Amino acid sequence: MAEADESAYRTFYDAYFDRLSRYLLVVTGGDEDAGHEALQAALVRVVRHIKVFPNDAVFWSWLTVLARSALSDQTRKRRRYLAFLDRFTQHAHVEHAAQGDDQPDAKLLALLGRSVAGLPPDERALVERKYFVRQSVREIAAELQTSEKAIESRLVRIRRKIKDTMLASLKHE
Amino acid sequence: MNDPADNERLLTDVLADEAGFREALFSETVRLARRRRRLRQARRATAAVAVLVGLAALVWQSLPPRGVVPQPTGKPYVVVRTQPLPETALVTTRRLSADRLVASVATASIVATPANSGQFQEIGDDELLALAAPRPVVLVRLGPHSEELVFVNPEDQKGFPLN
Repeated sequence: MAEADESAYRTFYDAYFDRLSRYLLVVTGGDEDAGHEALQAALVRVVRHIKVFPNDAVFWSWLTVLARSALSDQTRKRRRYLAFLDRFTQHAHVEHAAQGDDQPDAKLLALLGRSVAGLPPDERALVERKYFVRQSVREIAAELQTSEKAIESRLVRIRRKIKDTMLASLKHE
Repeated sequence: MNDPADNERLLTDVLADEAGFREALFSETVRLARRRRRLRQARRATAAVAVLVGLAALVWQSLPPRGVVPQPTGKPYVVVRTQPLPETALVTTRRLSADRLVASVATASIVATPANSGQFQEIGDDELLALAAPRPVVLVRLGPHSEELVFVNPEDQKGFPLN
């Protein structure tokens, strides 16, 4: 990565992009836009300060520090007129979030479970067929006597619904 | 209890990128990394050139300046060697024989002046005009002690008998 090798960055993205994205989604309390912005700033810092780390745990810890500092900086820029108060609250927020550095996915998975459980029965059944019974879209369409395209469209809407529910839950926590 | 892998798959799909954010960010990240690598290489090249220029300057200063002829370190004088002239190049003199001598005689005459020859008499303006009369003359006063006698007829300038 220090030599700007594209394949190295591809490997890094495959391994850490989703993880870091989810982490920031939790830290920002479900603010997807803020999470994206912080993720972008964090990756810029990765490019600038990349170095050799002894193991994955240390590297992930470093990534979370970059992500939190990027989020803190961007929030401070947005609210410059309340810099002191904002820094204080962000510090408290980051400290709180830092306690769950190793469990962002656990939190999201818990929210996912709650969101799926809150779905109407027909939608929950469709999700269970697709993801837990591992039926193909064609099989589901055949059993429900509908088209694959219709099943795909329903799944897209349901996933969007689950995501919205999860983000709303994160904001209210 | 669902399989964790199934939950992970569902979570991945739920949070899936819908607007190509991941690929866009990946491209931007790689572009930034390449730009930083180019800057780093440029900095290294600049530093190398600076070192080379510095070394060249040091070498240049250590060389003797061009255009100055080094002075010889020999003796501070020039040795001039002489040799005798050949006989044919010598010119000799000898006494002239008595029959070829020519004696000179005194032919110049000496003119002497008497002791009272320096006596003269000053005349005034009127006496001067009287000497020139009857020829027309004009006595022109040029300054306090300077006067000029001008003959009106140019023929008189050549001379004439005094009265």
